[in-house]
Amino acid sequence: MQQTDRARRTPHSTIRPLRTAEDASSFHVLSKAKFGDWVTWLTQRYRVFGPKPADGQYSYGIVKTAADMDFTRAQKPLSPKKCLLPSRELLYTYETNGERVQAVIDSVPTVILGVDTCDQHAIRLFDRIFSHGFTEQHYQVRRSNTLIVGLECLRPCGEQSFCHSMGTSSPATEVFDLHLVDLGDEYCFEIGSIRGRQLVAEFRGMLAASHTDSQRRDAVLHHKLDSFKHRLDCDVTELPDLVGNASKSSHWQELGEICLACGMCTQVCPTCYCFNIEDHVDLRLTQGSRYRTWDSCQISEFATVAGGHNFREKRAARQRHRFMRKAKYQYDANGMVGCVGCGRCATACLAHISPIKTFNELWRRKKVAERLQVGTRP
Amino acid sequence: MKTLLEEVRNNESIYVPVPARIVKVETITVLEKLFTLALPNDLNLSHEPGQFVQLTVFGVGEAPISITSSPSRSHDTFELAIRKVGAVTKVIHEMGPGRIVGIRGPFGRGFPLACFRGKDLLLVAGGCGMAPLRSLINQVLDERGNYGNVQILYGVKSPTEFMFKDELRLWTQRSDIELHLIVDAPDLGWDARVGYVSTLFPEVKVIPAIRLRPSSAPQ
Repeated sequence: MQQTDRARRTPHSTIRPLRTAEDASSFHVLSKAKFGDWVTWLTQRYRVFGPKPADGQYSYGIVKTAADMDFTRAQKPLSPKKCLLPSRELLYTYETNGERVQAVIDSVPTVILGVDTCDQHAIRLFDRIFSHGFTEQHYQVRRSNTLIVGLECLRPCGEQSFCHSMGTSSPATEVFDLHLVDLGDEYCFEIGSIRGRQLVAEFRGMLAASHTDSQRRDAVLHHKLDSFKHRLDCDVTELPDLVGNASKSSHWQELGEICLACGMCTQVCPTCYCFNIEDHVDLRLTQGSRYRTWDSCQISEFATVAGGHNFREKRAARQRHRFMRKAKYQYDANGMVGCVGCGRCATACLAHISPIKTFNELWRRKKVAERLQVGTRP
Repeated sequence: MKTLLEEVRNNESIYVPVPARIVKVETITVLEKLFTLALPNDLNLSHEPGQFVQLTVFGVGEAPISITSSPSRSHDTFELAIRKVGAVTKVIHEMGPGRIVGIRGPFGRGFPLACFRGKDLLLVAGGCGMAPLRSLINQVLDERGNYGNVQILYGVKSPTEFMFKDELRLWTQRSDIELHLIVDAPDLGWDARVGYVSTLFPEVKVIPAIRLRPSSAPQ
């Protein structure tokens, strides 16, 4: 009963069946035998990123042929965040006398293949963040030249993932240009944009989905839900208030005591985007370059200002800040919870700090406090 | 004439600064220097009191710095009072007139001057917090008739740290504003109030309904 209620309240957790004629034109099928040809066709027209095996794990990298990629559903330690916000990005070059300041904008037409549903939601949040206030051309130009080809996750990718609880186990319709569902010997392509439609229409070999295809797709998506469990003890819609009201919780101190302040959680997080700006000059001190590099709020220097004061000197304060950002601040600023439930931070954490454990612990304490309060009423 | 912000927004990248020339450098305390900067001829700063700019020292980095000149006194040039505390500020303290730096902005929200009209003002600054507040004070003084009573409280650690001493002298001489100075580590020459700036609060007469209190403090 409770499960059903949660599923109803969690956005994007329902299967969108393929029923109307308009829907049908949005779906195509391509046999896996021809999938490699399509990828090659893409690489002739676009810079293509895809999940590639690397050192026993998977990482998004430049793909030349389909053989470079592995579409098995193992979790990738890094999301495709780095394809849109590189870990080290040249912003502009200059001469140190202040002349010849030249912006460097990446506008190469790009396709990212095999974007998991959680990562699609992370991109959805990035699109909101980077369109606030001043136009941030480095992200926006790259993003507007990038097509997202999603791949439906048919089973949970890792022990730590809890996407179903966060409402991110289904694709983000505002984000994907194409979204693939593995039907066994074929992929079913769902078209999400005009640009996505071109990738399907211009490649010979795509077939419009038949009624049988649509039934097969629905069946696959229906069975998928059996393996995705709700792991969050509260509803995702409770998180902003739950964490927002827990600023004085002793749990942050407990996390601070075990946290190693390595910053790995923020590096692997698909929604962390905080950056630092670095200048580099050549040996003759005449040519300079300004770079943007990933930063981390978990590093002790992050909130240190000129003069030496550190606003978040304690690891407990930094952990609290991290969870506040995810559960509360992003929701307040962008209308989306900042955690997409991929579980990468929990996998990467040497101290076994995990968002699902943290959220559930805060929920448990809230419930205990409520019971105590009821008990003391006259 | 275009504003600096329009120019920055029209750049290919929001991070690319506009070149500005240092026209004057004055040492105003043991810690701070006052830099007078000129933008390219076709640009004006067009700022509100309380806003800041991003200052680039090419080859070193970028830092946010409050604009200390008031809009009423920033026509061909504008001023930044810069304390020597970090990488960028250390290098600019070594720079003299003629050198080129990068400027982006103005950014941030200025003091809501429109709301201050016709009201009494209590303006409080501690340390280098006077840098942004001076922009507001001079704006208020240049259109003095628009406001009611003006009281300024300014506290620093030691008397040597008072910025803009010439202007402080002028402000004390004016009969249409009240200026109260206080230090918390006095030297032998100091014969006025001792304590933090908040020590003065109980002595300030305010009628809460009509007074607004913008304040600035370092960090």
